[in-house]
Amino acid sequence: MIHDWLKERSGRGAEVSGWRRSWPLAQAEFLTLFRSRWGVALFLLCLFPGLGRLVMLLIIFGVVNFGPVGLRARLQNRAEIPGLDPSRVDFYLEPVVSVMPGMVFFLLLTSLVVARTIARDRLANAMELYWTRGLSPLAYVACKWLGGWLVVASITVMVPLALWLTAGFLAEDWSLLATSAGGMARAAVGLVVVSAAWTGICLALSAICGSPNAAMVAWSMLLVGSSAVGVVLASALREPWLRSCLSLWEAGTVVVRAIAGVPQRGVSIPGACAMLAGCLIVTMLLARSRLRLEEALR
Amino acid sequence: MRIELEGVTIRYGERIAVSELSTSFPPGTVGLLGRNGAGKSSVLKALLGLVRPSAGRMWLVQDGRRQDFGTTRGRVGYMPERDAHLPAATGFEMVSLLGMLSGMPRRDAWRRAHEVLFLVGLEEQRYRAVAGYSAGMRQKAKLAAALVHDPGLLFLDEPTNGLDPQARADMLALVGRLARELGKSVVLSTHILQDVESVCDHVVVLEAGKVVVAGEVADLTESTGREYQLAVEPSDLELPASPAPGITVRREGPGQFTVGLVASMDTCALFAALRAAGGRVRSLAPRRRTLEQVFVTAVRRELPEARP
Repeated sequence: MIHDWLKERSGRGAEVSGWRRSWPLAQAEFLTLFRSRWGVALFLLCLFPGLGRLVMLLIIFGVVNFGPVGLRARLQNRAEIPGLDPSRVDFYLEPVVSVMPGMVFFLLLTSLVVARTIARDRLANAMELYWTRGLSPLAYVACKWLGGWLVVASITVMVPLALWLTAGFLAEDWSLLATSAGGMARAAVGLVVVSAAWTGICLALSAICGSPNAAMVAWSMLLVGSSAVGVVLASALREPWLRSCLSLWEAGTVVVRAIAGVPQRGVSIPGACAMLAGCLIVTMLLARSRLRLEEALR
Repeated sequence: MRIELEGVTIRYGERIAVSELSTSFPPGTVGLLGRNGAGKSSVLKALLGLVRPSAGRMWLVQDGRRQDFGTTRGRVGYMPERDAHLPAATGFEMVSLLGMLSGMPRRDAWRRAHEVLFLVGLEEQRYRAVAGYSAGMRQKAKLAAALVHDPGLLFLDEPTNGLDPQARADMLALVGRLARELGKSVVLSTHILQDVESVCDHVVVLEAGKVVVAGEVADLTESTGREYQLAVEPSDLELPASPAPGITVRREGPGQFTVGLVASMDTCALFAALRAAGGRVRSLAPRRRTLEQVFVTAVRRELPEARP
């Protein structure tokens, strides 16, 4: 016998529509990382560069007093080292836009989380379940992108902002916050834009590749390979600006610094924008052909 | 709920998968039968909105009102043939997320997910990852996902695929209960004829994109007329091919015969003939056709090589 409560109660209540209907998919995508011990460990590991900067801030403002005397003196006399000046925006950007450690941890996070997502769904035939719920391929990709971007942004955007706010509270007065607020706002916008583009490219590769492992490898090859090509060609041709046009990572960081108003030398900002946009458009177009509705029942 | 298809044609490029199909799926449990490539999946794809028919209309008729099928897809539940699950999700998470994506508010989706998982018998395993489920449990999880948003119409594509005999019997019993006790209209797409015979009231047989047989299962498998299945004692009894005028006998096995009577004769003549041969009747029943015979006959009729 089927239980009476199932017969008497209808499953359909008020219907949710629009973006609120698709939002649970983005939310589930974001929370996937935090549902396993390995995922939480990975997230904490990616916070390490930010934690390093936090320790520097604590030393600079004299909250803690440890480490070699020479290092402490250099950190506290920050005016001599522009890159370690908490009143400058690049102090907060450095943990996420530097090649080491920024790119390493970014690559670890995105290749293990974002690059696997659509390829893993395809392997489990999950699209057949999603697309027969009235969720369009576009809404599906948008939700997956939003979930993945929230994971990436929780490191790339939130860490610099958290460090900057911490510095503001550690400083003697509010002048640090007041003087750097404009630059930090622009930096946050730059980080949002670039991390969104990087996540989009990574997600598109996930849609193109046939398996999660292939997607991880493809993303790693694109990020690291393009950086290597950029470095080699820029050195060989003695044209440093080539790096920003050939390396996907370098292009992103150049765009972030440009939006934040951080002075840069030997870079091509239009070239970096073209590289980032070109990669995004090409991978999205390739992904589009792999995400047709017919694929759900293929 | 009744589905009506009117001149539906489905093309994949130059290839025509379904040609001007006009049929209806009445309320209750309907079996959609056909060989591989007959067009079953194409019809389901079209009904699910995954393929746009190049011609024809599809209607959903409810309470006498005829609505375009495209506007009513929210009322459809679909259980895919292939193994399909959400990676890393537990049974409860998968079913509730799919409920929310079907438009249910979060609280309703959670409540309903618990209810349908209980219904399909996964209440103990609902917090385990679906990836670790057995084949039978995965089929049940897919059925729960198809039911979560309380659809009036269910499309079940090969629901007994890969199940052991006990799990298959359980699944068929559950499908039967959905129609009988919850009033769902179920379209069961399969090529396992016994499954259709055991749970379906109505059957539609497709061959080469056309309907070759459609009707009530009971009507299609009704008595073949004047043929009977006869069991006699002793089992080694020998009967002549025509023990009396108007009676024909064919031996099927030890003590088992198929008896044909001409229209003017009744069974008394048969009993008399048996007594004369020294046998006793153990059972006598009108011979019914099986769905398999109906299917094979219909499909053979449509095969090009069978045509003159």
